[in-house]
Amino acid sequence: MILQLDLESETPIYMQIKQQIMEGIALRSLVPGEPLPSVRSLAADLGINMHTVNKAYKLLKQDGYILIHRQKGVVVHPDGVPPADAEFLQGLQGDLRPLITEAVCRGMEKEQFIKKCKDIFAQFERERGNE
Amino acid sequence: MAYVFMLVSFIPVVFISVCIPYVTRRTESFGVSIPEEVYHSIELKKMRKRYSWQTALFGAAVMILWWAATTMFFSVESPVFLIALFVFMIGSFMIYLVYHGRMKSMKEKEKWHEAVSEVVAVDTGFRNRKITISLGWYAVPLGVALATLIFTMIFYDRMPGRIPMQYDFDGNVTRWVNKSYRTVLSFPILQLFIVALFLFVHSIIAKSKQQIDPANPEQSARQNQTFRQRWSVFNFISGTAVVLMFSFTQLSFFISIPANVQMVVSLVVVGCIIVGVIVLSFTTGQGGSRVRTGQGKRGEVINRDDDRYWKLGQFYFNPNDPAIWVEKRFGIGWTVNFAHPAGWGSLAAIILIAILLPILTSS
Repeated sequence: MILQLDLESETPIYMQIKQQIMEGIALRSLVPGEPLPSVRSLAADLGINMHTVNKAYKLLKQDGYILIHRQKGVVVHPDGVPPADAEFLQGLQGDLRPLITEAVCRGMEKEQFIKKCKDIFAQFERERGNE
Repeated sequence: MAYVFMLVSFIPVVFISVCIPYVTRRTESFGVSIPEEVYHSIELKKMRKRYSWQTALFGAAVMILWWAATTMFFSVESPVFLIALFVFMIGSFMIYLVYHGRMKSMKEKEKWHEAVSEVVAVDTGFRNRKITISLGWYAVPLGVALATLIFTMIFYDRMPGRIPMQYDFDGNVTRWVNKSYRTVLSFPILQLFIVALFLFVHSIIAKSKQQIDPANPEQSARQNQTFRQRWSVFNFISGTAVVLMFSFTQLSFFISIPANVQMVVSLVVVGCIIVGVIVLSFTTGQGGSRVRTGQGKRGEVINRDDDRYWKLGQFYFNPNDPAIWVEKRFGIGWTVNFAHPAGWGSLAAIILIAILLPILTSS
């Protein structure tokens, strides 16, 4: 897959990397077991500090998206991403809360918010179908 | 004969310098990064043309001066030729600097980079694909070099007591040396050095920074893959040819080979390599920019503007970039990130060995 980073963006670079690799997995443009570039070579190709890439990879590993082997290098987790368990749902609730708070403050309708969510889900399904 | 030889080496140098603006990436012009559409503008077309003419005329002037100097004042073999080459390189760099300056002020005025967002793109699967030939191929030149070495050791006794070390351009021996292990092994050792050198270049081709155009990432990644594949094949072929050439020279220590045959062989090898470089540069372009692939989409994004890290538009100095080898901006091939000692250190080591080798092997 093609990673595209905006180095001037307000979103930190490690977040952009993490986000895009997660999207790549969601869209199946990265398949389970697929090798990813090493920290060194990805940092060199992007022209950024190795710590930045390391940070992104560490977070991805923590969440079970990738595996970091000492010999084999970095791969997309061969067993797939762990399913949405109770712990994930709890985290999700925590993440959604500030977003919904903001929506409520701004007087957004519940249906409107849910429609936005549905649109994004639909977008994923569409793009997955095209692959 | 001497004139022919020097012309053969001078003309390609001038020719390649003249052509450089035409083989760079379309996103760069005289060491300045630009949007691709601008590359095709009438103004830039004119600039390239003018640069080429000026460089060509300058080259011709240096050649005429060199010719006049050698016929009137100096003997042909004097280092005047090297001085002439040096003068040409400095002079053409000056011409480049003028255009680089113009390009820079043009960019400041036109503000190309403000309208679109700057991104950097990377293909995560790039290094999983085949981007160079396999390293195993280098067993061929290595085998040839080792065979030459072993052959020389076995048949050391059959060699004459004096061996020719240097010829003038007319094929007469100008320097004889007495046979010793050190002198007869100088070519096999040189061959091993050459194999190591070409292996080093191979690793640069394989490991250098992945530079793809975010405006058209898929196409650009494919072009870059082709670019590396072709140069890695060429690197292997030319390395092997040079090693074989020295084996042939070594053979002349054992059986008598006419000097002019030897000269023709080396001229053919060197000539073919130069022609190969030119053909490959034109068909592939820097980074594969001349490789034809399907037209892609473009427009919304532009490559990151890293002009500030390119001193004089040609010397890359970026301590924040872990990459050691990057594509040249104005030319074909790769250059070093001068912010990393590992990069310029390895270059310095190669030059040092190249200087020391003849000193150590000749008595």
